[in-house]
Amino acid sequence: MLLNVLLAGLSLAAFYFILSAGLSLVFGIMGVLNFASAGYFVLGVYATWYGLGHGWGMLPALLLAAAVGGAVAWLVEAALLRPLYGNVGGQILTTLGVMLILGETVNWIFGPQIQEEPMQGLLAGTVVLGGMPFPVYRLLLIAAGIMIFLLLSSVLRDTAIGLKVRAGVESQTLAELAGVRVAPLRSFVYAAGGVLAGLAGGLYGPFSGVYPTAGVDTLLLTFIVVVIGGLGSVPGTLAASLVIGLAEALVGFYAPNLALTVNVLAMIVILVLRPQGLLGKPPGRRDTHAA
Amino acid sequence: MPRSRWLRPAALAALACAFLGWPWVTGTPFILNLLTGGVIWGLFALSYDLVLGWTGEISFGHALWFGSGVYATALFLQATHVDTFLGIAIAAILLTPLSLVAHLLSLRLRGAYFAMITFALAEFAHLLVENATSVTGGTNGLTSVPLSADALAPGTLYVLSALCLLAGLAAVLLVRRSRAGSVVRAVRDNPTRAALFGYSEVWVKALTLVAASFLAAVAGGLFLAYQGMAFTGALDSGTSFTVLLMAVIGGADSAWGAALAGILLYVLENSLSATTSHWGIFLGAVYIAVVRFLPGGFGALARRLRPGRRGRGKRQDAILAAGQAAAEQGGPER
Repeated sequence: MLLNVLLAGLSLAAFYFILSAGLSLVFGIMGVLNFASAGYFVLGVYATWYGLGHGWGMLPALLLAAAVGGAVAWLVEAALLRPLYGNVGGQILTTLGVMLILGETVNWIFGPQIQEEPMQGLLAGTVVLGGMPFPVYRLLLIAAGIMIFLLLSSVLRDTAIGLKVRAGVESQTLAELAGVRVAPLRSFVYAAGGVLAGLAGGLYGPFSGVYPTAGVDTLLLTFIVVVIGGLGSVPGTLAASLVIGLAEALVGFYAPNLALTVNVLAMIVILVLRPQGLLGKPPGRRDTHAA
Repeated sequence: MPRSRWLRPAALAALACAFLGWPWVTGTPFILNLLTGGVIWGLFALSYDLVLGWTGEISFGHALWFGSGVYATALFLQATHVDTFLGIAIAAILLTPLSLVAHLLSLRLRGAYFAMITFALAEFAHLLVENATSVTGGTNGLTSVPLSADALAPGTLYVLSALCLLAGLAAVLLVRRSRAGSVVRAVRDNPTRAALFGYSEVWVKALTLVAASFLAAVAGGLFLAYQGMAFTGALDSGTSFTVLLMAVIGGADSAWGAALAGILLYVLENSLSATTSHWGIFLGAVYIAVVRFLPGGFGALARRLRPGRRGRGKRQDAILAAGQAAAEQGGPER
């Protein structure tokens, strides 16, 4: 029983991590609260649904979601955000518009109804764990979360571009003085954020359904996770995902209506008392001012 | 352009009368109804202008105060059965201490963090209202609100909403010209320097936000009378986003621009979206274009079109920028 609740919590945590890691990194390097991430997420939801509906396997369908999310994010950065460089307020406002437009476009093309994800084969089934049936798909979520975390941390730790990203998150000015060209770095991180959001969207459909407001519905949870983890910190995002995923599964098991309320309250308390998050660095030197 | 002293007030008064009487000239009940909703949203958008234009902070949770106005008025009317318009005023006044506490809490943060805590507070209230079914009716809303007969007459509601909008607009424009208005602008543009003159950034911004919340709560109360019922949609993030879009398109620092955009966009949405579902896409595109190419919205457009003012505006901006740069470097100004 408890095992099942814990596993359910872990699978939620894995999903929240993939959903939020991109947003956190984008904030770290651009200072932008990226509402558009919810838009790339919806595109990912529908891309995977489209792929599965046309007889693709789960993996190609997820890759399509990641590719669509990344490509659209790259375009948005190049066309809409880059010209507003230096105007963080304008950039935040723009990402809100992008989110609304992407959501409305999906709504216009596919309609507002909730569609069933056409899952087949092993992934649609359950296994018996601790005497209770448990969806195989949720085990896949846990595996995906672990893989993405390992991938992200090894890229950030071991590659040249990862080093530059870490430098950029720490201090843009010092990174530039050390010869890092920050502009292409921003495009790269922003597109990577789109890839992660699209992938998270692809993973969302099978357990919550396919519908156009999926992005706005998960927006609040994303914000909760990045705030508690500390904006810009990947390990912090992982820790916060675990806390929020497990809390949601445990509180939700006893009082389903309270789960989200408790998490929002935690977000408010953390914002007021420790805005840098549980594992984040104090925001003292970073400019947190919008224009 | 020679202008006599009484021409401007007279023109404004004539404009106000035309505004109040307009639905009866053109009017079918449908248009009157549409305009009433528009005027109420105009007031709501005007209140957001105080947030974005006056404090320079972006709030993603302004629906909190609109929705609080809706529910506070509904609950107050249920408890006391007083006249609806009196109830709206009292509910908005009763909410001010609560809003002061909330804003002092939010203003511990700035920028993206302020944006996030306003979003979180509004979502928290939304969840509370959805879950406190016995008091608020949950997702079914409150349908049995005792509205008085005058509020149910559509003409009265329009005139009263329009008067509230005009009064709000006049108050905002007058304060803007006054000493207090300069203090708020000084704090927005250069908090450090304003602090050296003894103005606390947190308190100036908090009081501005309280005024914004008050206007939003009045708009919420009027909206309750307009809809005849309270529902949780008034508190959800979509409402916050819509009012933000309206105020940005109207002009980040233009009271009449925001009010006009509120009226116009509400009327357009509710007359067009029945025939087309692309309204949201169109609105989003216009909004993004305004952020990018016309950061002042309608207000900046009018300023640009008016001859003779352009140069002066630019020079003032330059002086402001120079002063700011000097203050930031900490060097002597002259």
